Amino acid sequence: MASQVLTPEAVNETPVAEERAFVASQRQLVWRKFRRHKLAVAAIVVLGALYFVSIFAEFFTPYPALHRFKEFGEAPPTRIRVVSPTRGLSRPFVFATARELDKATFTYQYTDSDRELPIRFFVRSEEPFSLLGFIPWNVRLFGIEDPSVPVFIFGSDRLGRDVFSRIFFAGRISLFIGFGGVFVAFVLGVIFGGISGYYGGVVDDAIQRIIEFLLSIPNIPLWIALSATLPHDWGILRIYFAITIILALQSWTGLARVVRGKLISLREEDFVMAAQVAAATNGAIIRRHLVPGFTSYLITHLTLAIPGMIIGETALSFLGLGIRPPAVSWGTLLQDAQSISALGLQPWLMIPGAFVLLAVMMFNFIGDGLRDAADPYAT
Amino acid sequence: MTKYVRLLAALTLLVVGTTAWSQWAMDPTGKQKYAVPATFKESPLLAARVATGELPPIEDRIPAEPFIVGPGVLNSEQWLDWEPGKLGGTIRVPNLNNSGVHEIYLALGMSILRAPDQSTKDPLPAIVSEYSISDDFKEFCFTIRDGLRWSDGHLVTTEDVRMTFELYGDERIYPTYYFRAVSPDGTPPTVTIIDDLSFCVEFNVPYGFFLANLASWIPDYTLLFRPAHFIKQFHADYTDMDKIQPILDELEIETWEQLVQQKDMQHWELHRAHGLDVPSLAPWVGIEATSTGYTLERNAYYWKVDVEGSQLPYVDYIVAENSADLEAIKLNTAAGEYDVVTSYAQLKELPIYLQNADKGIGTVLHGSINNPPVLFLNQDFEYDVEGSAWQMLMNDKRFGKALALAVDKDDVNENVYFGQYKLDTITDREYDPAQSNQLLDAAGMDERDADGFRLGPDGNPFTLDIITANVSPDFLLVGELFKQYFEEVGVRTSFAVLGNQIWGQRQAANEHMATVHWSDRPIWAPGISEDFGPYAKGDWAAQSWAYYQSDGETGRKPPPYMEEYIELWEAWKVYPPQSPRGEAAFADLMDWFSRNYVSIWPTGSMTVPTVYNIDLGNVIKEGYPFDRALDYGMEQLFYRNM
Amino acid sequence: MLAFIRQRFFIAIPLLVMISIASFVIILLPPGSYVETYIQRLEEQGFLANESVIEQLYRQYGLDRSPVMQYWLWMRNFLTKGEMGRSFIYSMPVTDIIMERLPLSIAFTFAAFALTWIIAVPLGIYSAVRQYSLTDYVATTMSFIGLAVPNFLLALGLAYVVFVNTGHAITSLYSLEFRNAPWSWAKLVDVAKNAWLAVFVIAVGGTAPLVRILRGTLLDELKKLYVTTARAKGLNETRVIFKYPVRIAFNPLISTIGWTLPALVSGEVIVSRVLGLETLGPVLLEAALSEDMYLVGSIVMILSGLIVVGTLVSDVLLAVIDPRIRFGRSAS
Repeated sequence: MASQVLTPEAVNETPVAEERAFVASQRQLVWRKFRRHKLAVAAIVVLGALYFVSIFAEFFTPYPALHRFKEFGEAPPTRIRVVSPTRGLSRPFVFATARELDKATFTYQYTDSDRELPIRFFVRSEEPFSLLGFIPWNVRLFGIEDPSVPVFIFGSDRLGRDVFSRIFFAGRISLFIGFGGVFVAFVLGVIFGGISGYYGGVVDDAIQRIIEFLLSIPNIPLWIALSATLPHDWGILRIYFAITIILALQSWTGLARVVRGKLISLREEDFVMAAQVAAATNGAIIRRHLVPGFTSYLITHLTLAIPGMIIGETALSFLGLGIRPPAVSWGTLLQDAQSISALGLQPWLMIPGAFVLLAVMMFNFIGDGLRDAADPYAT
Repeated sequence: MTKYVRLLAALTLLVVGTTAWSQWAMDPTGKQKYAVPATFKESPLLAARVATGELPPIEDRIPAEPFIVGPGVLNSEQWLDWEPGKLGGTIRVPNLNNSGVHEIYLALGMSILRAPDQSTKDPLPAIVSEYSISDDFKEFCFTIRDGLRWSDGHLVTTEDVRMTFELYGDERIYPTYYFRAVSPDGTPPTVTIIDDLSFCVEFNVPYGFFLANLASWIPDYTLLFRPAHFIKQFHADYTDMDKIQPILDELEIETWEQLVQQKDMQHWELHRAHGLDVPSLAPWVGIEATSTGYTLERNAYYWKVDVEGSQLPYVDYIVAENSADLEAIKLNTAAGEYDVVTSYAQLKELPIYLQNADKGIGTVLHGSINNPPVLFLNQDFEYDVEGSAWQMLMNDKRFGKALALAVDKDDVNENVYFGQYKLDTITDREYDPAQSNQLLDAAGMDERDADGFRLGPDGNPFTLDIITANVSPDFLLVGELFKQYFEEVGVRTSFAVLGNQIWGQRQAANEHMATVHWSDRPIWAPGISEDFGPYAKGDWAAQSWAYYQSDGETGRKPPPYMEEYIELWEAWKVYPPQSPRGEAAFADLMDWFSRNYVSIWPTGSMTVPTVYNIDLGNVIKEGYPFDRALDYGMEQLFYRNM
Repeated sequence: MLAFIRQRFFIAIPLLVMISIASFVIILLPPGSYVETYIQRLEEQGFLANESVIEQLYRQYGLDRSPVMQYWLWMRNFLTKGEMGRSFIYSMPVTDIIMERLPLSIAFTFAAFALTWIIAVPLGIYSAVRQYSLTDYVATTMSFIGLAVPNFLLALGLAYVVFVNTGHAITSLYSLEFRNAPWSWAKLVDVAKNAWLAVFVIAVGGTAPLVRILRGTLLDELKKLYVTTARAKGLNETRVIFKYPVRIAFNPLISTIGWTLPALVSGEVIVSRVLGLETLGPVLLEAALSEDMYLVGSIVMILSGLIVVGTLVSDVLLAVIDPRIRFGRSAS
């Protein structure tokens, strides 16, 4: 671990005597630097929007996740038009379509009728629902007045369910799956890394061996074994939580190493020795002097761990071990896309992959920005 | 006890009906459809070996009167315009993770008698040259085809039959009696050896159904014939332990009994690494088995020739290259890398295959021996729970009928199966949610909870818990649809998919209320598959069945409607399944299924594609009622342009 | 130096023992065994098993012994005879399967590893030198895309694109005509034709962390006074950058070898499965799903062993390059 370099700004800040002020000003400093990473700033906005839309998916999407249009399976994305053949320029509308099986190629063909149906905003929902699980609500952002005509922004799946709506409902699981796992990884990482780095010696050696051991086991058989042991009668939420823990089982090791490395370099610092001389307890030293010293590292590390969990969830689903239908997550949605018939005939089923890409990239940009701002050495 | 009463009843039936079916009961049958050709032809591959003296000439390798294949023999003429083929070539088939190659299973599954297609009606003698069945359906006598040889050149004799039954009864090797075709009374048959080639198998009770076992590729010839000369090498009663011990050491096997078990195998294992040295009667024998796949070569001693005298199989090799992923297999199929793809070809990918017709692949649509996934309702779930709501519902057949009526069969067919399946469901064909609601009300589920779902007949919240295994993608789709349909009539439904193994274990532990799985309905009637049974894929009354099988030692005392099932099943076993009596008994059994709602049918018969190399000859016609057309008859496939 | 290597080496041995136990426990964790898997497969084919068949299979596969006994026999045979038991799925000795596939797996992982560096190093240097420029953003974005696309989707997607455009299906490492052929130049070319896609997919998945580390360290070095001095002396920019800062920035990169390997191995499992490559990955996956215990245990042990060796190598390399490591703690 290389020693910390004090930038001119940092040097100016350090003489401030009071510790609280020191921390606060470092935050300002970090933020100032962070803003220079424009992609990172943009990423916060995009990611924020993604979370917001997912949390309020009932409002933002036209249909519930399991809502089916029996006559509209495997429909390509609906074309939203603004030019009507009869009326010229118009407010956005769609044509009603009809499906037919082409026996020669065995594919579904959708043909537009001449019936124009305007897209309306703030439409009343057929069935009332609740936002956040408790706010009664019955208005959706957009939709079509005739509920028998679908608007599929991203097409529909085999059973005629709206991919667009499902992506955001799935986002609720996929975007949050990281947090449970990251929390577990965080707790384990900080505790073991902290103990390892602060005490050193035999304890350190033992913990390092455990980490090496965990890192050496290929994660696939571990996942398989652990997922297979999950009791089936657990509800979706518990399975989901268990999966996050499975994902976290190996990922805490990275954080533990960061914490340990940082602690080792920090504990040599004079202020720690000063605290020891002043007979501060170990706990107090860790809490008051060491933790603030690497908070930024932790935040960075966590930011970068979440996208790993999102990808991990899709990989588990690919292996048939993750969240299973009818629960929707990005992983289960991508299972539908993982076939040559989808690639060749229903490419819109791959759109959930774009959202995985988007979310993971945004987290990485933010993480990158944070690291640049906090310390360029973090790994 | 009751079992014997029922048997007596069946016997009485038998006596009363004697005149009706004695005209059907068979005289000794030894006729072949075609005359033996004057000369024989063999593959250049083997001719070269004969030339070097490695192999004896063909006349010395095949029976004096081989089994003659021509039009209407392996497939009925309605479905195949059979033509004589050319010798040579390789058939490449898909192989998912070396887990078992469907195409090879069927290509190697040689039955003792053979009827065309997937039938067991009036089968021709195949491995035997003639057979007869006594009028009371108790005694079956056979004469082995004279000159029939194992793939290592040894003659097949009644010693092989004797040895087979010795193994079945040897508790050191098989702790319980291992004969697949035990008669309904559970007692093994008596085998009488008459001479080197003739023997009889006699059951204690009428068991006409045995004919189906003789003509089915599932039990295959190993039902009666195991290579005695080969197995004796590993058997301590026949060979000194001094000679067996080195083999045990080499294979790291502890006892000779285990060694015999390992070498005593059915056709499922023949192509795997430990089966390569086992002599067989199949058209191909395994010559290589590695982690990258299997290679099989033609059996030089194979006992079938075509009407022109060419020794079957036409094709020299079968190669099954291992793929790790189903999608890779589909991509390979589209690229024309396989010559025969049956079980992995699905309607869903048909457009892709049609688009790639220029890669030399042809597709043919036909029926299937499988049916689409069916919902099984476990009659024995919570059978020992006092006041179980589920047991109330299972005893009240209105509940099952309500579920059947709630399923929109057209929707399933259109959206899951491209509208290509038939709707010949066993349970109600109509979609009638209104009637379904009425029936549920009548069945005591008229109270609703806060969410609008029906309470159980006991007044408590009720959830129909459907659990399936991760076997086939359409299980998921159909399961999700079941959930939707049942909730539309107010039955709260949960649907979960488990890994195959955990599912199997829970199934065995009677922990499933309801499950979704395949059934082989199209081959129930000929008796090839019995997976409608209470203990098979669906496990819909395994505890009642166990009670019946163990004469009351374990399991659940069957409720009256299950007693009726057992009676009907036993009555069915008396006759050959495709005799008029057998067909009538089967109709009664199916009627029981349509009245008792142990399985709910979302659609009827399947339509599936087979993808094949366009150069292959003797490919089945469009609309054939079964699948497995190309693999169960792979010996007659040939390349036109080589 | 020697003492350091020796010390690290002795740590590796108990680690391997622990791994071997863990790999065995992993496979015993899920309920059931291979026998159930096998029977279920046969039942899907129409075969109906009875108690006696099941019992027979249990004995045949030696699953009637206690797990401890199974482990002991497995380990004893491994240590005394170099044998690792028999695979249930393939019904062949595990050593044969591993020998067949391990060389390819190693070659594969190395190729992916090399490609990762080939992509990551220039991107990392470039984005550090031009921090916050458009090219920095483009370079970072590119490396993140590799990280962010689920690799199974990328592999199948690219394989399909190749198929549609060339008619060639990448679903195996070998074309049929080379499957049983001895190794030759032509076979090597053939393998490369099928392997490049998988190598590419695995490599792009692993570049982002490397780019990130290189960029970070290099940014830091570039701020140091000696760089300013060099610039002030009028050295041209390329020399300024490559003379010292880049070299120093490589140190943390080397320390990543240890943990890059497991990631590559895991990536290899999924990608090889999708692309049907005859490496250990798909075998491991299938074996784990089917509870083919000796096969899983052995593969996990071998792969983990390789990872332990990889870590050892990276530690030693680092110690050679950076003397501070030798005396203090190992790199984090």
